[in-house]
Amino acid sequence: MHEGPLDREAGMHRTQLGQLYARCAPEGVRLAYLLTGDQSTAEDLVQEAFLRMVGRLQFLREAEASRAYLRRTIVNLSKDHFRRRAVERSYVERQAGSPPSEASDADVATQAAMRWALLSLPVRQRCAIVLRYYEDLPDAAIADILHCRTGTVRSLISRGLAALRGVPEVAI
Amino acid sequence: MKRDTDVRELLQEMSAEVGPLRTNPDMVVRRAHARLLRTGAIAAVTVVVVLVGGLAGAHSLRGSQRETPVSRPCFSAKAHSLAAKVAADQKVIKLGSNGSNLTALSLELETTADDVHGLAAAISSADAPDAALLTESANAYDAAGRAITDGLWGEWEGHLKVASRRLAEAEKGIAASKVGTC
Repeated sequence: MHEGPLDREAGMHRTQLGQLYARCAPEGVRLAYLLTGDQSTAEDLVQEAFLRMVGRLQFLREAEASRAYLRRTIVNLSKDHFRRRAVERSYVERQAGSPPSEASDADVATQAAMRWALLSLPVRQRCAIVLRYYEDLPDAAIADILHCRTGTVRSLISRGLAALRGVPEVAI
Repeated sequence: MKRDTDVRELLQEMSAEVGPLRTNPDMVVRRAHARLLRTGAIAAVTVVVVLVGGLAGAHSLRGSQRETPVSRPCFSAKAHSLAAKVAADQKVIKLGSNGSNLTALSLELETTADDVHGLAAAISSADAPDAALLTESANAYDAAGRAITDGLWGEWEGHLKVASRRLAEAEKGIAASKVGTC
């Protein structure tokens, strides 16, 4: 069996796509994990986002454009994910568990409480906080991703931080 | 900015919890290729369906236009005007039978005969029952014209009467059957 030029080209294309996935996926999974709190879900979302990105690769010539597209798709997919479940609260509580107030180590307890508080936030507030404090995006970029105004972004972040402050163990 | 720093630290620590990827990149790439192929196939099928539908629609439209009946002549009115013309011709011929312009009379009758033949052909194509009468009338006109040309004075008037009678019968038939009504 000889490999034809089309097969070779397809093979090269596959290799490049594999490299692109290997380059983009870890970063995307971390973002998706912060948004969903579950690695399996995060990997599923990143796979789906990558599949969508491959369909639009001809429009994404720059690496930064690919990253931005992947980031935006992951955020949208995570919002869809929680919307589909329609039981976001119960899901997050099941994933995160109740706040471990009885933990012996104060730092561990604080971390767990903060994690629980973060995952308990409404998805838009969580997205805004993750995009601001993890991705370091400006308000305008976050507003673009969340399809809202910059004032709304500031409001979402402010309310999210207020909710985090409301958790007794979180000293922020 | 202690608050921001705490949140950043929390997010960094949480992101560090993510282990190595459990999915094989090859599998994801295969899925991506399969989806691309599926998208392309769906797009191609859609284009083909739209094209075939468009062609079929255009074809049926053209077909329906072809079936639209062409505007048919108003046979009754035409037969009536022809009868009036024949009556006028008869008067002229009667007046001119003693004169010398026989060629003009003969040509007039031939013209009338052609008109009656034309009407007969039109009615015949419309499957009307009066085409035979009109043909008979037209033949009689032809005969009258030939009689005048040949100087057969005893015959032309008889032919003309027959022609006129047949035309009158055909006119009545056409009016009654309403073939090609306007």
